[in-house]
Amino acid sequence: MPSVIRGIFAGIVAGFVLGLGVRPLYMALAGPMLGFGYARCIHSPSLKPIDHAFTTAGLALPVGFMVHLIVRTLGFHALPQGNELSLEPLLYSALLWIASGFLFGTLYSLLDWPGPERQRQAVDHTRGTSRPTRQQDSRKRIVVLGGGFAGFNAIQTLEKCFGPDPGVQLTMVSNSNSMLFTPMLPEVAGGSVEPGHISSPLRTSFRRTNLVQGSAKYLDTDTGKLLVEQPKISGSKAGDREQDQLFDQKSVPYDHLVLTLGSVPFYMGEDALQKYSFDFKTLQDAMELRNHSIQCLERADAEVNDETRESLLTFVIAGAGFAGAELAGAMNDLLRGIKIYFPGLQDNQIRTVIVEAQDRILPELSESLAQHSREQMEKRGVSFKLGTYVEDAEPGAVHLSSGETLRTQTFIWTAGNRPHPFVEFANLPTNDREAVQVDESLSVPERENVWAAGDCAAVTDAKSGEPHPPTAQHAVRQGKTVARNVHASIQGREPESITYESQGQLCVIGYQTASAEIGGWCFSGFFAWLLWRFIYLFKLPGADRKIRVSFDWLTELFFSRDLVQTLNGTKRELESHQR
Amino acid sequence: MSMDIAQQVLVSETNLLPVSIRLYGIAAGVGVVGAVTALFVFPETSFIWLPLGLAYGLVSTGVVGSRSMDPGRGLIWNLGFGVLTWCLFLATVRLLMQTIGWSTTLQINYFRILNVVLVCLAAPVGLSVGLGQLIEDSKQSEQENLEWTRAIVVGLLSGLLGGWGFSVWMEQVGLFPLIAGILGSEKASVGFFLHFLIAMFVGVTFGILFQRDVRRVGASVSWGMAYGIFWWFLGAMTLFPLLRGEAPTFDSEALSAGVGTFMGHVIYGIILGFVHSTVDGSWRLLFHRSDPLNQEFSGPGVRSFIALYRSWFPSLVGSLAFGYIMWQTGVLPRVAQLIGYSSPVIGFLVHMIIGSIIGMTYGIAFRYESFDLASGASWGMVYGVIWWFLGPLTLFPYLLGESLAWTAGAIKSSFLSLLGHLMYGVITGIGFYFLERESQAWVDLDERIARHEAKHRRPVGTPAPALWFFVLSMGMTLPIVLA
Repeated sequence: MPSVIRGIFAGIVAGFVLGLGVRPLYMALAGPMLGFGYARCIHSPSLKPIDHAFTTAGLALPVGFMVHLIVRTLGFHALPQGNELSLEPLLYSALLWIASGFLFGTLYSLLDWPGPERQRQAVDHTRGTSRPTRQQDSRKRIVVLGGGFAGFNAIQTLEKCFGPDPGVQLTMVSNSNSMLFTPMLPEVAGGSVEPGHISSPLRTSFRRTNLVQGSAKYLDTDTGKLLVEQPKISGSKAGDREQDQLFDQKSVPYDHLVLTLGSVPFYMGEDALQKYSFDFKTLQDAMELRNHSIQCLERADAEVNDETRESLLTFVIAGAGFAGAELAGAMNDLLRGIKIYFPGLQDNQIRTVIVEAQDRILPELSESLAQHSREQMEKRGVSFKLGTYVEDAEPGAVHLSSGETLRTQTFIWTAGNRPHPFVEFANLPTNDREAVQVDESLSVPERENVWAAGDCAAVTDAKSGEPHPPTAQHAVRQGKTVARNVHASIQGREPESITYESQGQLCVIGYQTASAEIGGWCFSGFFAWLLWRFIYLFKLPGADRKIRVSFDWLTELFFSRDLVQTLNGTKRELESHQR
Repeated sequence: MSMDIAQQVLVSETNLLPVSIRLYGIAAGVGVVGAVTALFVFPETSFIWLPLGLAYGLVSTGVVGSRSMDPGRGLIWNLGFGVLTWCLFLATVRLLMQTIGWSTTLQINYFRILNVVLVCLAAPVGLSVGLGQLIEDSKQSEQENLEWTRAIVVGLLSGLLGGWGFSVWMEQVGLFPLIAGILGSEKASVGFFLHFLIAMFVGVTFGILFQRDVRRVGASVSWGMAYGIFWWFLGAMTLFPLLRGEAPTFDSEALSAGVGTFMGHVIYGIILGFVHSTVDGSWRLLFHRSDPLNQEFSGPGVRSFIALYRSWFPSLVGSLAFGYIMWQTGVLPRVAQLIGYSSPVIGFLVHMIIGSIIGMTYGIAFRYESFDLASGASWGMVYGVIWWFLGPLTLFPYLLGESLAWTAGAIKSSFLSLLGHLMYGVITGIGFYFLERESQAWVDLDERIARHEAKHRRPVGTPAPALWFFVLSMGMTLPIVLA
């Protein structure tokens, strides 16, 4: 017998019995109604008659009181005050409600003793193993390639859009198993924040997404397959080049592919610049830079040769965009902060130099604010070489286009980026910057179900017609939009067009000093710095990360920066060491 | 601590045990022995109880015996069954009296019947059948082990703190010299010592009997309240007069005098359950959950935060419904007095804040407990009843600097507040259940996580339905009877 019919039938019988003792009229109505409600509410097929009987007997008493209350309220009677209550009739009603509840539960369950199928369901339910029966093959496979801002937000939005729909399989392919929160990368290089605290593990950040760690090597858009290369675990110690170059290959089929590969450093075709510079894109880069800088101070402290010491204590950063300026500010604070522990070093011997081809810094900010920022940085000890660029580099020195040579053991490149080279191999339509060409819905033209977002895509704003700059906040918006459009495409709806206006710019240029341009308002100093910390702490994914970074910042208020070198070797060995 | 406590605590429906003929025999025998005891202990008990005791043993074993897998479960199932039997008996008598036109006035002596059923029949039969099931099952399969050290240490501490909660009122009304009378003394210090000794004994038995069933705060507090009520019947109403050389009496005077001790036992049970789950939870955190081998998918802090969030919204809705009743009954100005005002609007705001805080704790206390909407509603109502005892009858007067409202008059005047608490509880419980169920669809996507989560969920088969019934029926009808 269907559960609803059983509920109504048992409700009528129980209501009748109840009606013998209390007001029959509304009990005749309440019985089947409550029976219907109970039948609709119960989802556990493994309940036995005794469970039903006790449950309904227990529920009957409070439900009875509430029914009396509702009936009284509907009859527009004021509720009686406590001392007006006659408790003895209440007790009679209570006993009758309990008896009726017991009768209802017993009847309801006895009319449907579980058959074999329901028994099986009961066991499944109890063991928590009842699963959707949909075949895996029929699931829509959505693959997001790249785990940066765009990819991370794309997956999070896809999970939100599809929810727990078992008809969709979400996969992220990333060469890292974490999402690096790059706005805080200078803080790692400057020693303010522990490296692991600004990376969110992808596996714990997503609720239902499979992670494939590896690099994309080949894309076949006709068959919908992506070839992913995964480094082999050699079992030998690090540095075994022969073993390191072995890879496993894995084919990842897709129905929808979202490219969010990001960008890589661009050295204008100068091999020497690539060879002798530090990159500043990854967590490894930031850690390496911090270790290298401390190493330079360790060496310089014991160095007797003035020229060598000068090169050890000169830190050159190519590029005065956000990355370069923030890194220069953070490193300048680190170096000048810890020099007190190196008795052989003088304050004026440490040089942090920014080399910029334009005649101003921070082109993302207004002219006046950029000028103010520059003055603030100069006050803190950062020097600038504007209107010139690094033309060449060699071990221990960089040569500027102005003809000047800077002796340095630390040359950091933040002067240019380009879209990830895989887009070239994938034979996708690109623009002159070699970014994947996409339409307003972020779909790649002439490639069915291939989408792109973030730094690797050439995105034009649907409203303003302007190209989107390769910034984190644009990548976030693009990632969310592309996810919604993939969802719309699968649902058979029209995709939306990408439009976004920058919310503003914030740049930390030194300890408790930042420059901000938000909604046309320009300001700088402590408040801007505080705002930067609040906003980026809020944007940092993961509550645990937020707490860890907060504690790092709190620790920084009371203790000096950590001098421990966490890596033994660095990418660039010091020149003196090579000699 | 090699055993998986999650598996240890919650049993699956498939583990139900068939009841052997031998156990039927034992139950019938215990029922008869209980009836004989009743003849000696309770005056005015007739020999009709002998066949009734036999019948009770057989019927209760047939109905709840398969669920009574250990003494603790046997006790709870039988307490529920005992009260149910009492209710059905009274309801039938009442209907018959009404049908044949006799007086419908309920004689208060029926309360003695309840006491006999619970103390002499339900408890001994439940404990013995549970023990029998435990012994028989341990011969057939690897039995879940009780952690004796944990049960005793945690139980001792819980009993001690619960006893302290009770002692505050006992000291106010000067009950300690009466307790001392058990040992033939009139010194308050002797009574004080004896009270704590009994409280610790009850705490230890709570740990031993219910370690497998109580884990989270909500279940533990509910079990504690049920156990407290049972000990009121056994201790205050039966053993206490007997040990003082008096016969247990159930006239209206004795029942009115029993309001305070009833409230004390309820509050003792609530504190006992709360402390037990807190200490037990800390024990498991330190020695079990901190072990990397028992790593969960998300950290305990994250899960608690999500539970807080999920129960917050339903509790707001529940507070609104409750607020309507408070407005109707005109108690909002009194609520405002908690912060020194008398405006009903401020009283309403204070009520909403308290309601949301208590509602949020529901999420932490009762997550994983509900397996369907009815169980969600039941847990919610039990929570409502618990807070009726804790709130308007205990904490509220205490915070206003008044004496505890553990009197018949106070209970009667705050009876409508019970309805408000019930509505609040049921809305919070149902709302939380729906939000918890929604997240289950995510969990089901990954079979491994689903299996892991399933171990936390309270399955069908535990004595939860009997507990809801016992707590709700006794929590609601006893105050009526006593008031």
